[in-house]
Amino acid sequence: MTSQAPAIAVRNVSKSFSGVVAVQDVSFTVAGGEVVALAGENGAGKSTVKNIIGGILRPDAGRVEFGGTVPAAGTRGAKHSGVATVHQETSLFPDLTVAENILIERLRTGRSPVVRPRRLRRIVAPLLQRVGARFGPDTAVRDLAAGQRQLVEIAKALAADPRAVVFDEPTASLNLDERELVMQIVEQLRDDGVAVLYISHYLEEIARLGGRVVVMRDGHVVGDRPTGELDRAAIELLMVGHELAQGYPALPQPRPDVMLSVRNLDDNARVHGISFDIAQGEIFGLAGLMGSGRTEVARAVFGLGGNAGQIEVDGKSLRRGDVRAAIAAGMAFVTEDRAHEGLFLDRPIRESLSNVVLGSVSVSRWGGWLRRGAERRLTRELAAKVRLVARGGLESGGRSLSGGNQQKIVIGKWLAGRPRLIILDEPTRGIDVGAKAEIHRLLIDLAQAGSAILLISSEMEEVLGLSHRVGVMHDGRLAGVLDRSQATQEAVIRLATGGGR
Amino acid sequence: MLPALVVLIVVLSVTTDGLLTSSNIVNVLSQSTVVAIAAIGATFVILTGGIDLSIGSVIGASGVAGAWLITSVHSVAAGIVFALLVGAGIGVAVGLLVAKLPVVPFAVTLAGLYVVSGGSTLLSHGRTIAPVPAGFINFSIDGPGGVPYAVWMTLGLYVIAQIALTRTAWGRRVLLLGAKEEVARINGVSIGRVKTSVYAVAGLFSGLAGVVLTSELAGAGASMGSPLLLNVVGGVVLGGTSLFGGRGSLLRTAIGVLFLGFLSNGMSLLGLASYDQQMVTGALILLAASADGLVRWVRPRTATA
Repeated sequence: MTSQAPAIAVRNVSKSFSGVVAVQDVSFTVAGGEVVALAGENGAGKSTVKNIIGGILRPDAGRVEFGGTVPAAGTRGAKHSGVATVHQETSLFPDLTVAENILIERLRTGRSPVVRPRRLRRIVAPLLQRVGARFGPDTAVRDLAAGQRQLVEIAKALAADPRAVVFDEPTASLNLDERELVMQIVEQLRDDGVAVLYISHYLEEIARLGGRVVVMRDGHVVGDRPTGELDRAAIELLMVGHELAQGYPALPQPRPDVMLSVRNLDDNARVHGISFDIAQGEIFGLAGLMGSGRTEVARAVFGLGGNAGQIEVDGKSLRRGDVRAAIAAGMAFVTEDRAHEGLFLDRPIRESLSNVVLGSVSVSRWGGWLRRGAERRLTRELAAKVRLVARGGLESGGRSLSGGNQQKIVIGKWLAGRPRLIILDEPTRGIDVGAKAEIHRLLIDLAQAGSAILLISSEMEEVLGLSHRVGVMHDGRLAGVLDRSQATQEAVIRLATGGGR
Repeated sequence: MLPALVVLIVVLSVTTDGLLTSSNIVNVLSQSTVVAIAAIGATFVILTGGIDLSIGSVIGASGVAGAWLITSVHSVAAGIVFALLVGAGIGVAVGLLVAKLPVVPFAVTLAGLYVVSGGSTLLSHGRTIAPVPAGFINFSIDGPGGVPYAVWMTLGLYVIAQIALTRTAWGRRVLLLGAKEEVARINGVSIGRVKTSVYAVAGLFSGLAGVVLTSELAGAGASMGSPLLLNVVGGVVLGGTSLFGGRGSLLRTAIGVLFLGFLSNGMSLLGLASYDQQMVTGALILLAASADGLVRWVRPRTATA
């Protein structure tokens, strides 16, 4: 081992899955004390590279070196070489405590079979302080919000005192304060001489962290340059391969008629006395801090909880707590949890797309014989409508798709008819700029055609850019509704933090 | 699982005399019929991620009910219909409980096993109900080409059930509910209705299995189906239908049931004593099941469809 050898060196790595090339001849290095950002659209091959570095996948060709040496195969090889990974989807045990999760691989002391909670606490306390956590080591992970869990993930990676850390979208589920915290942790690591590979969709973060940026497209490295040499537009151009339209598209004019009317919505837990209307063709944004009750409002409107209050769709009262009634009334719901609630990962893509409207492709409304030709035609149309990129075709499994394309299925499955109201909870979380722009375009088109849209997003820019009006939640209540002209970042934050208007 | 079945048949045909004679094959098929019929219903239940432990007792209950009507009103047709109604009725009841109660199917159907078994023993006073008419017995002995009617019927039912699973909206909903219940609910699948339906189907096929078993035994007793439960579930799972739901087929179940059938038949031909048979059965089930896992492990990881 030489001291000049980079902490992480990816050398000519290629990998295919059942004949589909995921990465092709990828090479780059990360030196100690350096931050390298890995950018690229969903499906560009970033996750595959991450998994190869972490030892989860074995490359078909090429190799990965840590400090000039090739590690043993498997995840242990990476760990023994001092390479830690902070995963995007949290890999924590919900029923164990924070301390137990962080030290999951070395719960015992020496040969003793006994776990000593006090020892765990002693080791974990400084780690939690380092990541700025405001919860104790004995908290059960189940009781933590998504952002807090991400901090536990980071602490877990730091517990091994790594020489190199791979961050995979660490801020996708975080609010602004927490993001800032993560940025500071990364900068601290860099200053301590740790090598950092930072995978992110957020070009602001990439610009701030400096160092170099490696851009991937279609499994190839298409750029590897100092961050200072590339501005946002240049990175996007590399990622997408063509220029993106800047900013948000113009909003169509909403119509006067009310499509959705919500009165005194309440679930006796997280949501209290919510009332608002959405007109035909109107995009109503719902903003608020994490845990303010945004998601609960969306779920209650769709019939997934909270039965108190009245809901009318196009003037007709809706039976509450009944998803099927909501769908029959023309509602569509795009969940924030696509892996768990959005699509069938282990079934063919076609089945995820056609499930909602299965009755329309079978001989009778209630089911019966499936008309397979009609199903194939319908699912091809839906896939085209959302510009789904499925290299393995619609018969391959949902799991084979990138996050952005999975999200297109979660939206596309509702588009066989035109939904009267489409509820979207974090529709662009964790997906790349290209797919994001396509989803924004799709929302505008739906509004243009007269659908009412309820849009929830943690990304302030997105809510402000796409909404005719913005409702701001604070602590389970609707703190205020801002017109497009009034809806500035400052005004939203003031309401969201309980500051009044 | 198909390779395991082929290997088993090849090994047995070399080591025994007369495994692949037509009379012995018909023999294996006849002996597997009751389990095979009940396994159709069990497959649908397991595809939703559920389990039905009451299958054995429903076979007994419907057999007793059918035999009672056949012997008292001397109408085979009425007896069969009654047996099917009893089976389906119990299935609907179990299904409604599974769908409505916040209780796992294992517990609901275990309760069903005891209630149905006790109830049918009580109503039949613990006696075997016989005799049944010779024509009815013939159903499981005679048939075109020397193959019993019951076997032909079972083959037909497998074809129909496989089509119902893969080519109807109901079958698709069963599979998708098993693949991910949360997604299916949001997509507007009526979870309760689909769940109730699979247990009703399981009850119906258990009822039919009870009719065929009554024909084979020339009479019915309340406890006659109880030993079959493990073979039914074992056939489904050995065939490769996932106990977690969402993955599997009737074809797989047929292979699993045939594996158990040929195994038992082959060991009898080899002259193994019954305790020896049990040990060998256990060992071979483990071997066959792990061979399947090994194949999947050795193959490169692919996106599952």
